[in-house]
Amino acid sequence: MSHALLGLATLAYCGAGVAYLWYLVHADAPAARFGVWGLAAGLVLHGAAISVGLLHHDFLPATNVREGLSLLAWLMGISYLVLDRKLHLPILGAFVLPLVLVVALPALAVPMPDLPLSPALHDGLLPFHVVIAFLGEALFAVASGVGFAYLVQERELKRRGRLAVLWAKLPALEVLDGLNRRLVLWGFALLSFTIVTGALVAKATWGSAWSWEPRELLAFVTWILFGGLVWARQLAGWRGRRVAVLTMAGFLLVMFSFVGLALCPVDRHGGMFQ
Amino acid sequence: MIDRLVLVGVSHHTAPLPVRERLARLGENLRGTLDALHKLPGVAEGMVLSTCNRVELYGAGAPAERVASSLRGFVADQGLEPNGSGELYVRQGEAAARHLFRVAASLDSMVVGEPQILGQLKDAFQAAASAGTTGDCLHRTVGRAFAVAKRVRTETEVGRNAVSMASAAVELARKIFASLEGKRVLLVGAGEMATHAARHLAAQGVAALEIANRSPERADELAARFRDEGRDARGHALDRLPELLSEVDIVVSAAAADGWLLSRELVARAVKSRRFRPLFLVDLAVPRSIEPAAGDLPNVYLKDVDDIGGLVEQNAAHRAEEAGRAEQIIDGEVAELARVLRGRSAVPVLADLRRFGDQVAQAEARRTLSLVGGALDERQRASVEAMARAIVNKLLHQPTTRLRRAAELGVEGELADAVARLFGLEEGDGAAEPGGSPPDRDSED
Repeated sequence: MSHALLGLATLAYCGAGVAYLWYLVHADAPAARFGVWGLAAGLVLHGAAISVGLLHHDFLPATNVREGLSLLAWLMGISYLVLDRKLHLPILGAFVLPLVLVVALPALAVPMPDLPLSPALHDGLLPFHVVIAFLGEALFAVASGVGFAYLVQERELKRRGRLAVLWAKLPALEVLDGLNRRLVLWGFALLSFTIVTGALVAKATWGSAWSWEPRELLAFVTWILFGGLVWARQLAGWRGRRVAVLTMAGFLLVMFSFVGLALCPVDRHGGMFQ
Repeated sequence: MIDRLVLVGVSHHTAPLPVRERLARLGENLRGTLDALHKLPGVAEGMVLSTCNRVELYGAGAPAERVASSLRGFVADQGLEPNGSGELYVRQGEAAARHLFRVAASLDSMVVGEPQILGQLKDAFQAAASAGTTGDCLHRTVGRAFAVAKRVRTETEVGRNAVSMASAAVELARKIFASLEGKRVLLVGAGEMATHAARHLAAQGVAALEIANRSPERADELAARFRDEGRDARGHALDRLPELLSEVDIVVSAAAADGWLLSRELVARAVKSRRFRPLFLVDLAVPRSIEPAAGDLPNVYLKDVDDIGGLVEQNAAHRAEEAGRAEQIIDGEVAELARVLRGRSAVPVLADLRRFGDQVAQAEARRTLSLVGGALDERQRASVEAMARAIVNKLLHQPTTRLRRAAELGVEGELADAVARLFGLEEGDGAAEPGGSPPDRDSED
C-alpha cells in the first residue's frame, strides 16, 4: 500500500520535473503551473504513503534506507514548494525536482528488509532527531540545486558573443546567492540540532553521547564543512561561485554518509535504525 | 538625380568589431575625413556616419561609378580590403537611399528601433553641412530620411518596446545584481553614449554616479548636470580609475582610447580588493577600451557592444513584425524620393529655364542700378534686385510647376520642347548663358 502510493507520488514528481524542465526551455507559464500542481499532488500522495508507514510501524517510517530516502525526498519537495510559494521562482523547480527524483527513485527500487528495530526507538527525543536531520539534509539538497543554478547562470553571464536563452529566465546571481545563504544557514542550524539531539538520544540509550563511529564522524565533518561555509560567508565575505561549489560538495558528502553508511551496517545506527 | 547617390560602408551585419574599429578612425577626425572625401575624384558631396555599429560613407556625384570607386579606394586606404570577404557594402541610387532610410528608421540597427541612430545621423549630416560637403542630393535624401524615421516611429511599433544598448546593459545588470538600487556606477567618458547610459542607470535608482573622463572638466560638467537632477554624481580624472574600480559595482565605458583604459591587470588588482563582490563591466566604446581578458577574472562580467547587441537581437519577434510594416513605408518613400528627384533632373530644360530667368533678373537689375543706383541707399538697391527676381519668379512659376508635374508623370516631352523653343533655350546652354561658367546641371537642379 505504502509502496504503491510512493510509486504514484514518484510518477507525479516525474510529471512535475518534466513540466519544470519544459518551463526552463520554453518559458510558458502553464508549464510552471503544471509543475507546481504535479509537485503538490506528489507530495500529498507521498505524505499518505508516509502516514501508512507511520501507522504500520507505530513510528516515523525512517527505519531503513528506503524509508529514509523517501522521507528525505518528501521534505525536499516540501522545502521547495514553500520556497516557490514565497519567492515565485518556478525556474528553480527545474533544478530541484530532478534532485527530488534522484532521491525518490532509489527509494522505490531498494528492497525493504524487515529488520529488528533499534533500542534507541524507545527514546522520545528520537523522532525530533530524525525529522530535524532529514529536514536539514533536505535544505542542503535544495541549496545545492540553487547552487547549481548559480553556476549555470554565472556561466551564461560570463559567456561572450551571443548569449543563450537561459540567462533571461534564471534569477539574478545575487538572488541565487542570497537564497543559498539562507538555505545553508538554516540547514546548518538544523544539522547542529541533529548532532545535539543525537548525542542526547545516544547518551540515554547507550550511555555515551559520542562514540566516533563512522556516521557520527561524517556528521561531524559535514557540520564542520557547512559551519565553515557559514563562517566564511558571514565573516570573510565569501560568496558566489566558490560557495555554490562547496554547497554542492557538502550535499554530496551528506548523501554519501546517508546512503553509503546505511548500506554497510557497521555502527549502532546500523542499516538505518535497525 | 537619385542615381548620383552612392554609399560605401561596413556595419555590424557585415563586419566584426575589429574591422569596424579600423574604420571608426575616420569618424574621430570627422572634419579631416569630410575634406578628404570632398577632394576625391567625382565626389561632389560627402557625408560620414560613424557609430559603434557602422561606418558609412555617403557620396554624391556623377558618374556614380566613379564616386563608388573613389569611395572604395578611400576605404581601402584605411587598411580594409575593398573586395575582401564581403565586409564592405556598396550601394547606388535607390538602393543607397533605401539603406539610408532603413538606418535612419533604426531598422538596420543592432537593436532594431533604438532611437539614438537618428541623433547620430543628424550629427553626421550637421558635420557634413558645416564642412560644406553637402549639396542638393544629400540635402534632399537625408532630409527625407529624417521624415521617414519620424513616420516609422509614429506609424509602427518598431520603437515602442525598443531597447537601446544602454537599456540592454541595464537588463544584463539586473541578472547580476538583485536590484540596481544602491549600486554605484562608474562612467568612463562623458560623451553622448556615456550620458545616455547614465540616464538609464540613474532611472534604475543607482546610488551614485562616478564620471571619469580624459578631461575632468567635462566629467565635472556632466556630474553637475546630474546633481541638478538630484543625483549623487562626481567627476574625476582618468588617473583615479584604479581607486574607483574597487569601489563601484558597474562600469560603463564609452571612451575610445588608443590602449586599454581598463587593462586586465588593473581590473585584477581591483578584484582583489573587492573580495567577492561582483563587478559588471560594459564596454560600449569602439575601439574597445576594456581588455577582453578582464572578463575571465572571477566575479567580473564583461560585455562589449557585440555581446550586448547580440542579446537584444534575440527577442525581436514583435519588432520584426512591425519592422515589416516599416519596410513597406520605406519602399513607398524610396519610390517617392526617386520620383521627385527624377522629376527634378529628368527635365534639363527646367534648370536652363531657371538659370535663364536668374540671368535676366540679374542683368536687368544691374542695368537699372547703373543708371539710377547713385541716388539710392543700400536698402533701396536691394529692393530693386529683389523686385527683378520676384517678377521673373512669378512669370516662371506656372511653367516650372506644370513642367515638373508632367515630368513626374513621365509625359514632359512635348512641354519641354515647347518651353525650350519659346524661351530660346534649345540651341544649348550657350544661348541662355552668355559668358557664363560651364553648366553643372546636376548640382543646380
